[in-house]
Amino acid sequence: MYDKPEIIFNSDKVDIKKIMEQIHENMKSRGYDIEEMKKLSRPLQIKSAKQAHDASAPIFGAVAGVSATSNVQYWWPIPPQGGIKGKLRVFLNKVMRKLTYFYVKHVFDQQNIFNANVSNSLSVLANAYSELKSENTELLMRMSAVSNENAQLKNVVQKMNLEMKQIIESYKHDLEIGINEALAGYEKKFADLDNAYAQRQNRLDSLNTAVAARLHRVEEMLLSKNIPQSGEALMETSAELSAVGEAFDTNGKHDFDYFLFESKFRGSKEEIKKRQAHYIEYFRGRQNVLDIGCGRGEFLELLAENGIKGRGVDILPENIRCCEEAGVEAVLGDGIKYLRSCEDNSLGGIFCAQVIEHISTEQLVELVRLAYKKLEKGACLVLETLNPKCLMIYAECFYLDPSHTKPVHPEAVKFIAECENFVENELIYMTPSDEKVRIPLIPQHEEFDNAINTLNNLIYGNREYALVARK
Amino acid sequence: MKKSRIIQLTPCITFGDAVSNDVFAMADVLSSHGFENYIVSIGIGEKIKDRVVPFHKFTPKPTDIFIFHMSIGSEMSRYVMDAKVKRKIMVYHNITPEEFYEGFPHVQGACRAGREELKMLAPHIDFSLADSDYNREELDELRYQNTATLPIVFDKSEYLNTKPSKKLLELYGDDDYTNILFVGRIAPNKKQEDVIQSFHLYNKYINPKSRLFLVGSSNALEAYKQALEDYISVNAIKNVYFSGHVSFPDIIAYYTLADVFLCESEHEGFCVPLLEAMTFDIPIIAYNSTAIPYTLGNGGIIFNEKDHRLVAELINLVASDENLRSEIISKQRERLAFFNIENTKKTFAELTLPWLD
Repeated sequence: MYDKPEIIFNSDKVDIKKIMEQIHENMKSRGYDIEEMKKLSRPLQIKSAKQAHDASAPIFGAVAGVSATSNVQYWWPIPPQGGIKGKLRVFLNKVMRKLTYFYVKHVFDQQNIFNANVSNSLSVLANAYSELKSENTELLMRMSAVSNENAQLKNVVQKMNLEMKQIIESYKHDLEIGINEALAGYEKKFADLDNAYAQRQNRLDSLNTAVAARLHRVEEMLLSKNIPQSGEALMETSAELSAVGEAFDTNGKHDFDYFLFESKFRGSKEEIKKRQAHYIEYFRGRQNVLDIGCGRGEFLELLAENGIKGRGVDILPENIRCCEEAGVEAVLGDGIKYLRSCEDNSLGGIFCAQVIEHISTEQLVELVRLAYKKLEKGACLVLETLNPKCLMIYAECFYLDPSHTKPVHPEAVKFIAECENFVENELIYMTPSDEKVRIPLIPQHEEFDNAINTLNNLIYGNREYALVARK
Repeated sequence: MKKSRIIQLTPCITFGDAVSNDVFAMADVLSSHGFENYIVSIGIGEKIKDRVVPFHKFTPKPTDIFIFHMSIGSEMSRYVMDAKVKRKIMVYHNITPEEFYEGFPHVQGACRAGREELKMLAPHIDFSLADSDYNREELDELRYQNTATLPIVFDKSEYLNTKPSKKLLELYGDDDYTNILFVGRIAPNKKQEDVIQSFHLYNKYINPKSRLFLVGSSNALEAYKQALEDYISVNAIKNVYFSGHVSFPDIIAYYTLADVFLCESEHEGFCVPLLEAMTFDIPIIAYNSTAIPYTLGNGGIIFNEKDHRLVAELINLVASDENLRSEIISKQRERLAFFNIENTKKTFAELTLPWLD
């Protein structure tokens, strides 16, 4: 079994074993009191505050001792002694006591009064001490408790402060994030709303235009017609109204804005006027010229600018409004029907550009026939359309416009005019293709060049032509 | 990259006590290595209040590194546990087990809380420094990760440069009495009754011309001191002197007067007074308990059983045998050199700097 050493100290210079031997020898020789050792080894008695109060007991004991011995006896007893010398000594002592009695008594009386006062004072002081000690112990206990509570309160307050700080920081942080997220969300929503609003606005604008056009057309109808008196007239008006409605509905059904389409692809008013200026020659000196399919009134303006009185007819209300804005006369309606309503031999000319490719052959024949009937003698009918002899028109123009029904060959229209008795029927070819797009010729290859020329003319020929027919 | 702020947190800080000295020494080391560092405490002593940030005014940053000095239960433990900071380092100064404070509910409560908090802190601490191997073993048992031993910072020059109180030297210095000394708070774990008992046997059976100085305050443990006084009174023990709360020059005076330092404490996390005694070449006799053997090393005599007769005889030999006495002092000087402040600061830097990146 391992024996734990009694002491630990490692040194080369000191012999611990020897030291321990000496210690044990000394322990034996000291005569330590085993009973006292046992008493000393009793566990410490830690008392409560009340018990501590009893610690003043030794003081009361001491005070009691003072009190018990405070009265000093001055008539002190003289015990008897044996022998002659003894008896003599007793006698002399008694004489001395008798002789000093009066003197000593006075001093001792005063001493006793003083002792009594001291004893009383000590007693009072002991009581006061005891009370103070008790109060002090109590106060110390209270102070300790208060200090403890104070420390706890401090901790609680500090903890609360910290928690509050953290809570505030946390709320601040969350709030910032929340606000930023909300703002970002609102910004997106506003942007979406803006887009949606713009789209709605566009649709509303379109709807407004359409509704305004329809209203305008109905107004025109109502204003241009007297209230029908007879059943026949009522039928006619009703038929016209349905024709306009039909034409309008056709546009509506296709949901195709032809006015917008034309504005985009037809070219600006100035360009049109420039292109159409050469036709003025055929109407010079005439009045009462009718422009069928007058569009935005470009040719009517040219007529007016050249002092020729004219008016237009067009199926699109937007075009009629444009004409009104331009200060030229135009009516809403179907050209053939309008022409039918004109007085015979009354028109100084009929101009009809980019219309006949929209109508059927029957309508074309009727148009030419009516034109002949309504024109003055010597007046001209001008029919301008795309030239089907130039193949490029199919690629670039003809099928671009979904309302085109079929191209009209120049010879066919010339033939119709001749059949309807027009006397001078001239075909004018216009709008040649750009030279750059034509296939180049190879010098000294005549046959090849002839073929290429034919091909060039076929593909890249004049894009438009006009028939000028004179009555 | 900017260095983290180093925050030393301690529940209580005053001028001159062991933990506070440790905190300030670490602050010096941290500053010398260019760290922005602060000391944060709940209870702040008047003299050092300018150097310490009050706990309630402190706001941590996520990049902070905490160095928490754990010595008693307090709100701070929970705070450290919950804090969201870069790293948490603990310096463990030990907590007295609550059993020693039976009958002192407020102290007992604080000790119990401290022990519980110590258990709970374990998973939150990245690196721990313990004052002694004994403290470190406690941490290892509680499964703290990355533990190391770092002695408490002790600056002996402060003691040697302070003049002892004249009054005490005049009162007790000019006679042939043998003065036995124990320095430490009047507290149940320090077992002053055992020191008194051993001294009493020495005084009564060996050397009547002897005194025992029990130096230390009994603040908040008055009943224990009263019990010691009763014990002395009941057993007619002579020549025991309680210093009460003393000034630093008074402490120096007691060390100057002492012939033997006797320690019978049953719980110490480090026991700075042992180093103080070594500083003044006072041979030490100490009971083998807790961190005491670590602090003493081979400086001073350690006894394993509390046989008071044996202790009385040891006092006698150490006080009277010049050969033994000088050998003990020589060993104590060797041991004290180990706790050289510069060494400790260097060790602190070596152990801690890798955790402060």
